[in-house]
Amino acid sequence: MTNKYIALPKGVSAENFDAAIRAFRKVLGDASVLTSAEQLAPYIKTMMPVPDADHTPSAALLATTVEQIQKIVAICNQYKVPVWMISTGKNLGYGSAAPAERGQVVLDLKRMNRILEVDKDLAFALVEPGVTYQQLYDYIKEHKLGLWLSMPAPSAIAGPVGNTLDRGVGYTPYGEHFLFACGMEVVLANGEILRTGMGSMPNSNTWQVFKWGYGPYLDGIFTQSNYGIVTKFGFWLMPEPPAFKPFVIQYQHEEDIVEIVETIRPLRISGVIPNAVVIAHALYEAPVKAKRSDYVSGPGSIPDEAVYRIMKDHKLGIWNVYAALYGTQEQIDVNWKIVTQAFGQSGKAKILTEQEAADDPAFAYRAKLMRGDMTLTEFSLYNWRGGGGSMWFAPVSQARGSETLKQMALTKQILAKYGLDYSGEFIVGMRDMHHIVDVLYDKTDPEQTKAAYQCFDELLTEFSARGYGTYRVNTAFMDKVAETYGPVQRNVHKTLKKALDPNGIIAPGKSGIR
Amino acid sequence: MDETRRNLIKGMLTSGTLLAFGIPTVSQAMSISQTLSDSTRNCQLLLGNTPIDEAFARGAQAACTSYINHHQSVLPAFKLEDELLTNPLRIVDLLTQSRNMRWIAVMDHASAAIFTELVRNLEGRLLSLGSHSSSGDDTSFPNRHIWTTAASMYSAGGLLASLLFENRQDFFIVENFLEQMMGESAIKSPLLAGFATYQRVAQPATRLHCAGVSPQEASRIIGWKASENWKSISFHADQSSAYQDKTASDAAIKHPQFDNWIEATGYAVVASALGMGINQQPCASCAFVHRSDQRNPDHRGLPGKHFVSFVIDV
Repeated sequence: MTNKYIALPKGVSAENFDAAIRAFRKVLGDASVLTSAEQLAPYIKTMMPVPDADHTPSAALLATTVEQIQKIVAICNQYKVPVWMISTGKNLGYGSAAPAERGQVVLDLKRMNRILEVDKDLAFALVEPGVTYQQLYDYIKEHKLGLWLSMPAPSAIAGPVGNTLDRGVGYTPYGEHFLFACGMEVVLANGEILRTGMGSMPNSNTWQVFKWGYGPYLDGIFTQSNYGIVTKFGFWLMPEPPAFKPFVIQYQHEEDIVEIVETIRPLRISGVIPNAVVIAHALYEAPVKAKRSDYVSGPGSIPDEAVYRIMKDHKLGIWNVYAALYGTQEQIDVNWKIVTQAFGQSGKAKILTEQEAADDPAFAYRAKLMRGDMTLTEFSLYNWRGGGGSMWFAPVSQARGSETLKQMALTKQILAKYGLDYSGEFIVGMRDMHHIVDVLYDKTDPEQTKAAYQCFDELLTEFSARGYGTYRVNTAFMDKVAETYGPVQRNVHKTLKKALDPNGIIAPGKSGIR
Repeated sequence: MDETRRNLIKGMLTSGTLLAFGIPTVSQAMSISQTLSDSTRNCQLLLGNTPIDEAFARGAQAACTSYINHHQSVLPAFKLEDELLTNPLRIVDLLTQSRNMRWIAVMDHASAAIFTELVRNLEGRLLSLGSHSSSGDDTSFPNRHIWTTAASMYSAGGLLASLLFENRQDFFIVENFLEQMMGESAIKSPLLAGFATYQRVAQPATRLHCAGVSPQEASRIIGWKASENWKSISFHADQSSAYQDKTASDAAIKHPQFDNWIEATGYAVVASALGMGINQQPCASCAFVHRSDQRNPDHRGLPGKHFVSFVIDV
C-alpha cells in the first residue's frame, strides 16, 4: 500500500495535512491542487549534490488571484502548513522549483501571468509573478513600445519577478535588476496586502516611478526573504537606444585579469561602458563550442595545457570581456575611442567587434543578452562535464584587479583539490563584481557528487574566512551562508520573521530564515 | 500562433531526418499512433538531437517491435533538428499540440534542464526521469543509471538490469520512487536471475539487488551508506495472485539482447513506458549493482556518454 501523499510537511500529521488539502481544494478547485507523484515530479529535480528526497514537496498549489493567496495563507496558518513560493521556478543551479525543505507545499504562481501595465513614456512595467521575459518581450514587440528588457541567462523561460526577488542580474545597462525595481504588492502572512513605496497611498499614480515612498524603505526585505508573497511587481525598462555596439576583448593569461579590471573600473564608474560587463574565463565559454571529453578524460580537473588548446582551437581568450556601448552613433563613436585607447595601452588586448565576431557562437549569445534578446545558450555549460550536477558559487568581489586575481586563484585551487574545473566569470557592477562559478559535476557518479558537496562547503568556508561574502546560494547551503554573515544579522532576520509571520508558514529556510 | 513559429514546427515535423532512423514522418506517425490500443496512451518518441539518438531509437523501436507482437502497433517519433536551447518555443508548441500523449524523450543535460521546466509549465505528468552515464574513468563505475520514478509501475530499472546483465559489463542502476510505501512490502514477483536481493534492515522499503558484489560494497558504489545492515530476501510464489498474473504476462515477452548499453536503455525505457517492465517491485528505493567476474571487462565505447530520458504524459 502507498501513502496518499509523497511527503508531509515537518510536524504536520497526515490527518491535518489532509484537512489542509481539502481546504485548498475548496479555494482553488481540485485541478489546481497537485498531490500525485506524477504531477509533483516536475517540481523535484534539483542539480544539487544532495538527495532530491530532501527537497520533495508534499503538494503544489496553482493560484490565479490575490484573493486565493489570502485564503491560502489563512489555511496555512490554521494547519501550520509551510508554503514555498515560485513564480516561474527557473532558479536553475540554485535549487530550481523545489522547496528548501522536504514536505513544504509549493505555491506555484505561474498562472498569475498578467502584464498589468507597460508605460512607453515613463518606461516601466507592472506585472504579476508568472509573467515570463518571453511574454513581456513579445508584448513590447507587438505594441512597438521601443523598450528593452534586461534578463538573466534563462531568459525566455524565466521571469522578472522571481529573478529580481532573488537579486539576479542581467547584462544590459539595467543589469543590476533590483536597482531598477519600483513598487511591489505583497500578501503578508496575516492576509493583509501591502503595497510598498507610493503604492500605499490611495489614488497615487507614482507607484512605479518613485521608489522610496515615506518612512523606511521596505522593498528590500521582500527580496531573498520569506516575509511575504509578492503578487505584483513594478520595474523600469530601458528605452531602446538608437545604436548598440557589442564587443569582446580577449586576453591570453589568467594574470591579465588584474589589468582588465583596473582598465574597466573607471570606464564603468564613469558610465563610458554602461552595461554589466562580463569577464568570462575560457572554460565558461568553451561549452558553447567544444566538449570536455574531446580534450581530457579520466579523473581530476582539466589541466591548463588542455585549456590553452581549447583556446587555440576555438578562438577564445583565457579571459573574454564582453561589453557594449549604447546611445546615438555619435556617443558610441566617442566612447569607442576611449575604450580602445584604454584597452590598447598594454598591447595585450585583442579587441573584436560584431564585424569580426558575429559568426562566433559565444559572441552571438553574449551580444543577444547585452541587448535583452532571448537565448538559452549559456546552459551549454550543463553538457561540459555531463551528469546533471550544477551549483552556482557566487561570492562578491571588489572591482579591483588584485582582489579578482585572489578570488580566481583560490576558487581554482579548491576546485582542483576535488577534481573539478573552474568555469567562472565576473559580472562587473559599478564598484563590485559578482564572481559567478558554475560548480559542474556528474550527479550519476556518487564519488564526484560527494566531492562536489565537500568542495562547495569548503569554498564557502574559505571565502567567508577571508571576508568574501556570497550574495546568493542554492537551497542546500542557505543556512551555511546565513551563518557567515554573523549572529546579529541572523537575529534581525529572525525577529522580522517572528513579527511578520509568527507561525512560520512562508518559505521557512529561505536564506536561512525561520 | 505566429507564422514564424508555425513554419518552424512545420519544418521540424516534415524533416527527412526522421527517416534516417526508420521513423515515420508526421503524417505517417499520426495515422499510426491512432491505431494504438485504447488501454495504452498514444506514445511517441522525442529525440533531442544528441549523438546517442540513433542507438536509443534503435532500442526504442525494438521495444515497439516486442509490443507489436502483443498489441499491433509501432512507435512514431520526432527528431528535433535544432537544439532545445536555441528555440524552446518549438517544443512548447509540439507538446501543447499533443494532448493525451505519452512522450518518451531523450536529450543531453543542457536540454533536459530546460525540458523539465517546460514539462512543469505545461502541467505535464512526469512518470520517470533517468540520468544515464558512462565513463572509463578509473574512479567511477563505468555505467550508471539514476532514475526518479513516480511509482513502481513505471520502473524501467529491473528490465534494464536484466538486459545489461547479459552484456557482462559493470553497471549500477538506482531508482528512487516518489510514491511512498506504507509499512513493509513483500517481494511480489520473481527476483532477477543472477542477482541476490536484500532489504535495508532499518528501512525495509529500500532494496538492493547485487551480482558479483556484496551489499556493503554495492552500497558504497552507489553512494549509499556502506555501514547499513542488509537482510537477504527471497520470493515466495504464493504472495500475490495479482502479481503472478503480471509475471505470467511478462514471461510471455521475449526481450532481445543488446551489445550496446544505449540501445538497451532505449529498449528498457520504451518497453516500460508501454507497460512491459519487469521486476516492478513496490518500494521506496531500489538499486541493481553488477560487477562482472571478468578480470578485464570490456568497457570500450563507454567514455563520455551522458544523457537524460523522460517519460511524460501531456
